Amino acid sequence: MRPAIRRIALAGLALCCLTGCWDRTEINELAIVGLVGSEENKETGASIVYYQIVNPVAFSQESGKGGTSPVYTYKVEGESRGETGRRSAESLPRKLFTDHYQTHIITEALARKGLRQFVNFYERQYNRRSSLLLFITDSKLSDVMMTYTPLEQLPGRTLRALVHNTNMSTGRISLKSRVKDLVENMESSKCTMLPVISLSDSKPFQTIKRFETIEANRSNLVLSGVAVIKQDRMVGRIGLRDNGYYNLLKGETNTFFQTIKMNNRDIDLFANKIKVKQSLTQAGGVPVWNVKITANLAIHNNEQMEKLTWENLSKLTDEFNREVSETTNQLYKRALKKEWDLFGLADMIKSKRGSAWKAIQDKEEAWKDTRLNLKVTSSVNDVGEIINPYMGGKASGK
Amino acid sequence: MESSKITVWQFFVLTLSFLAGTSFFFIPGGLIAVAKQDAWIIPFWAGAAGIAAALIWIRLARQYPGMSIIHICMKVAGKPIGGLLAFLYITYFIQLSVFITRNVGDFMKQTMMPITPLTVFHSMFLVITAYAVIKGIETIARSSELLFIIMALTFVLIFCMALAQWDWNHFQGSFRMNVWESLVETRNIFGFPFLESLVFLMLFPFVQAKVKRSFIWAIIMATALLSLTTFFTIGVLGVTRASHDTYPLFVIAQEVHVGTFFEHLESTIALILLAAIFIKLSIAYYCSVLGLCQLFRISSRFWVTIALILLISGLALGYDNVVENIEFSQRYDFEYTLLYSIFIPCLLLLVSWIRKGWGKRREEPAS
Amino acid sequence: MSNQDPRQAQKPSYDRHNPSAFVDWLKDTLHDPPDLMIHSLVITSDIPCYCVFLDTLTDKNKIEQELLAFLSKTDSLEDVHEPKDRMAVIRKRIPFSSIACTDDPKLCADNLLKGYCLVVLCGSPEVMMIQMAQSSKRDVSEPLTESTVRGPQLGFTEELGSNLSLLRKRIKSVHLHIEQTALGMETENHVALLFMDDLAADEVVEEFRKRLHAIKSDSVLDSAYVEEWIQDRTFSPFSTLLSTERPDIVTAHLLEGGVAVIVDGSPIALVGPITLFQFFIAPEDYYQRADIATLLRWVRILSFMLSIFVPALYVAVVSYHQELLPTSLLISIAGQREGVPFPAFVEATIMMVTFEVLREAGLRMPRIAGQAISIVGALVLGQAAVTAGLVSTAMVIVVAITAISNFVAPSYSFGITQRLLQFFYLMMAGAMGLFGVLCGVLFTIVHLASIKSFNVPYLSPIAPVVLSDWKDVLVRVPRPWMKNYPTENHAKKGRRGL
Repeated sequence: MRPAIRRIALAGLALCCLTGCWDRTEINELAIVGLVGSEENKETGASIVYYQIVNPVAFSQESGKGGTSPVYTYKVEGESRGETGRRSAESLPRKLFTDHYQTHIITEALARKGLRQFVNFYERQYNRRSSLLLFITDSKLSDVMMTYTPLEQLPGRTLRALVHNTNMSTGRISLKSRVKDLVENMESSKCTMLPVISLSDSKPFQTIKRFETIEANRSNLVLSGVAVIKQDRMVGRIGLRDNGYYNLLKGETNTFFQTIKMNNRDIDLFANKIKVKQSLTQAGGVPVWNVKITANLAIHNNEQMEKLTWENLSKLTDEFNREVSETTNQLYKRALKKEWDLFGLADMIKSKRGSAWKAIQDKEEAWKDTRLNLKVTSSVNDVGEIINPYMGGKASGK
Repeated sequence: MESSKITVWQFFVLTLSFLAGTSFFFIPGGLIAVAKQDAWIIPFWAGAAGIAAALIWIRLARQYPGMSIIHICMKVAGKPIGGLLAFLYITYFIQLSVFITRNVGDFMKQTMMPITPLTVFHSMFLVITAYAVIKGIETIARSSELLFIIMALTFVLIFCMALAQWDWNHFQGSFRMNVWESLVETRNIFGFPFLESLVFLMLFPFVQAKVKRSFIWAIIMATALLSLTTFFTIGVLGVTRASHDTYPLFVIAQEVHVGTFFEHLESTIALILLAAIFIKLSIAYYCSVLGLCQLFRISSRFWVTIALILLISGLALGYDNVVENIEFSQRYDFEYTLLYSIFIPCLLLLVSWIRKGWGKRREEPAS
Repeated sequence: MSNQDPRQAQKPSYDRHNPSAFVDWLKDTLHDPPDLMIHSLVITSDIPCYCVFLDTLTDKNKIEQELLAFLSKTDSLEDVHEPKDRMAVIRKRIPFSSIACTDDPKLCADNLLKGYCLVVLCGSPEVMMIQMAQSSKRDVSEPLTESTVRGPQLGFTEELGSNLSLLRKRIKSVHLHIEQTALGMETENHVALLFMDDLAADEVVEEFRKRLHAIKSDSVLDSAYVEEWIQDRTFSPFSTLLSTERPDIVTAHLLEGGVAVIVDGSPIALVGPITLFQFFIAPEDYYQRADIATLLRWVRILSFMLSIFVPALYVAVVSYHQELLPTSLLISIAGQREGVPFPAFVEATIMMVTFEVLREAGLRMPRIAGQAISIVGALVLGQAAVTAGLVSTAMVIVVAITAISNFVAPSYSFGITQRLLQFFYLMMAGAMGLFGVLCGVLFTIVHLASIKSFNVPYLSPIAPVVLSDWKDVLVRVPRPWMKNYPTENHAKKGRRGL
């Protein structure tokens, strides 16, 4: 009797465990989201979300089903953010699977209105990835979401690659353009910079014929600038080049590209191993932000008609230092004028201690008076393969 | 009843896993929310209080070598009152098991399997724990030894990989804590995890030697670990995000990545957590079973253990969501635990001293 | 015959004056089998004599050429007048060493069945029994299931005597203790218990003895019978005795304080006490350089992990926790699974079961059919199954990894353990995803922690921690550094070579 009861109890328990199956979803019941775009319906205020779903068949080698689209874009409109996700069931044949997407595009209009609800909604989800990259677009969202990208067929991955590559080659986009960076700055005065992408043509190429044309640039997605987000609201926009200086000053980049002119001839310099030291001091009741930048330079292009010498190189670094500090100072002043606390000065002042700072802290707008004391030093450690340029006709004289 | 013995190292591992095992996961978020950048200091005073309490317990246990708290209660306070006190302790152990069980359910449901009913997680986990409890304290000790090594290695691994995200700027504005306020706000840290370790009053008789040393060392290590984890959470995640997340360490593991292929390590942290919960639960569960057996002189643990599965898994459904759990432990946990951890042991100690003094005085005139 | 008392009438007895009656009785008792040879001869002209033996069990040549020749040539019995002394004289002169005399007919019948040749001499009070056994034995050959590249290439055979001789040759010590008992009411198998009496802990030896003597069985056909009787846990996938057919492994264990059991008729010896980690040790570890041995040991541990977890983790991840996969892998697997009709769990089960069927078929079928099975096997578990749309390519690879890593296990019995575990985890993964697998792992760990092999905790030296024994667990340190005996067996001596 007893063993029988025990056996039944055991079987019952085992059956209980089968309820775990309620959570089971086969991989081919999922609509894998690769890219999401959100905007707001201007008339009704409803939120519109575009889900770009990866079509796995296009990526499987054996099925040989060439000619299918690698991604499909679904548009879902709902009263609220939560509802759009749920309403996707009305048009998607598979279960929306958002755990994997790592790029999110937001229209400029929505960003200017404020991203707070979006951020809170996103952070509430357990299956989120905080390394999600955020993009702002100034083109029409539906066009952006329906653009094929050649070479890398998943647009989401293309966008990530653009950010990474730009960061590596010129340092003009910071890798800290993720949701979590936005969240960290939500409760501080610091601004967040998010990349802006645009469609390079007015109309997208909506069929997979796109992959058959050699013209890669035709209606493609390109990085076109950087949006300045203050807390949760987009307040302005700066160019990619300016953002390079911003990243340099903030110490968020390891590479930097700068062209200088010497004797009216271009020299392209690539800075790496950049070290930035920042400190906030005060002098006479005015806060001073001391930034010391040291960098190693590599000469990528040198159009000078003379041999590289000690003197020449030292002139070159001097020019680089001057150029960088001047341009950076301009950016700094411009930001202060626009009341963008790009560097989190207000927070730094707030966290200072001592009686001298007390007076400064009492002034609400003290950070705007902060002076930038920038010091750039650099040294050339890669001159390229040739030291002596080929002079051509001119040098050979007569 | 059971002639098992556990070694000093095993006892150390058990204590350390009990103290640090789940708290490293649940505590940092709350601490950071209250004390911001300085949250890592808080575990230190909590640990100091833990050591003080531990000294009281060891003092009490020394008076009655080879006896568990149940026996001590009955011996000091007599059958009726002592029995009542012992029963109170058993209810505390059971309630502790219920809390720990619920942690499993909440965590799994929220992070990994949202649709599966809570009870399934509870009963499955309890069945495994019950198996360990039936096999006895030696089995529990040996399994925790093995799990401890696995946990420690995984933890160090995640720690190292997450260090890439470290940012000293997150500590901007340290050392401005309002000590008294944060003390009051975070008083639950005294209760969970430090004072909870009073369950070891049941296990002291099993330890071969050096109880005091390994117990105190385990508390010190747990304190250091807790502080380190909090420090680490601040440095990696930043105060803003850490104070908003329910499980900050889970978020850290989620964001760890090495290259683009090796990412999403939250399942490893889930592994550590579940292993830690398992150790903690099996200790609490074992103590409740042992207590019941000792109090009612039951010779076989088997049926008591099986019956407790039903009780615990039923009670574990006692509240609806994490918010209630967090609120409860923030508001009442400290006061509640204080009763069992300080008040009753002090009372017992006092009574036993008076009795001893009484006995001496009685002896003196006689001799 | 007439002067028998009634008590003797019930029990057959040997009557020295009437040997033919005794021989008839033997014939009756054995039911006159065709191989019973009764050779009657007359020695020294007038003394009738019988040679009784079982043709099938004895060395007929030896009997004919040596025993019969000797008996027929005995003429020196002339001077022995007392008939009852004749036997003693013959015994003194006979050129054989294992001889016994008895007057118990029961014993005669028993020994006849063990390959003795009975010499019944008229007038002598006892029957002489000469060991003439010859079993069809095979030569000592290479071990079939545990082969090494370097190191001795000898394996045990079914013959207890030759097995013992293999061990004796390796351990030339007076401390080697061999105890022999016969087990099984019908089979009367010899079982030898071996240990070093200056090393093996008394408690362990006593435990072995106790359990061996507690065996109550009609038959012991193989060491597996003994193993089932004396193991610590009946319901456990983990074996608490190491079974091996290599004399060098047995020797190594004996010399570290272990105890071995060898059963006559089985080429597999049992060694205990053992721990879980000893299943990751191959004999080759000690015949190769320490660093390589360590590396290979890690490979073995890794493949153990792979073989028990890969199918379970695949199922758990693919049907419960897709977020854990890297995106590109997710897309690739999704592409492969497009059109596969089964859920991942069913798919995995089908493939795993198919593989088990194939493996079993491969073991049992006649060698000649081998070709067929490898062709069909490749179809069932290969590209054909994928093209038919029944399974996904990833699943085929998962099964292949599992299968290959399963074969890495140095001990066959441990391979079986792995197969059981892998199905258990697969079930758990199918039911509860990663949580299920984790619960399964916790359950296994608790189970392992609760096992003791002859009072040695199964997980030692990791749990309980015995640091000094770690030199031969996850790593193998070079020989000269292994100065101490492992403490887990509670060996009587601490240091080696003292």
